[in-house]
Amino acid sequence: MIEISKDEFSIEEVVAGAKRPDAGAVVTFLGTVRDDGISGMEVEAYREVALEELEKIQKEAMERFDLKSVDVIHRVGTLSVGDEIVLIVCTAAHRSSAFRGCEHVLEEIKRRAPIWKKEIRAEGERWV
Amino acid sequence: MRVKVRVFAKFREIAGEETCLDMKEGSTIGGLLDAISASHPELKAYLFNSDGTVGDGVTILRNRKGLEVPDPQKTALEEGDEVALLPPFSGG
Repeated sequence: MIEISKDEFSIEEVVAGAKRPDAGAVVTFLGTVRDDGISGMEVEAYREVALEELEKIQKEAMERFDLKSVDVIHRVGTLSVGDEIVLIVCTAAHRSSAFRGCEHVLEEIKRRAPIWKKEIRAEGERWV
Repeated sequence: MRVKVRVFAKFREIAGEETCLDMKEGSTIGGLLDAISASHPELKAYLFNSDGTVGDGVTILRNRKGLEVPDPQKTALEEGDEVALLPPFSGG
């Protein structure tokens, strides 16, 4: 599953959907809005291109790390401190592949997906 | 010829929502960047480094794909093209 969504998501549902008999490891990364003195965050995406890029990252990671599945949900819109920004769930036969694959997917999203975050503070707003 | 320009995040806040530009036949993406910079001088500082190369971390897409040749001056535009100007990514 690859999604860019304004809506909240259920980690439990995504993990339940990812579990499979041939995978002994499910690694989950959840990125949340950190309280750096901000009141909130806006997330924007070039949706069509970001979805294509996320799908490429998914396919590459599955091949490179021998993953059984990769799910990514990235939020857009206005978020508050503590809200989820991104969820990555990777499954693999063994933990090493799942951990390494999950970290790789996150780093590639940061590097390649046309998505932007703007911090909202009392004194003003700033694209990061 | 008419070219659609899409900008996002900081660039959108400077230049406004998507727009269409009328460019002369034979124009390049470099020419389009010059035209936008002339209309929005604040954007120029982000689009170009001081040596005239494309700004660090800036991505230019033509019809949703990266440029085959890194130099925008060598990438010709065609009628109906969509050019996207993207500031450095910060998702994840």
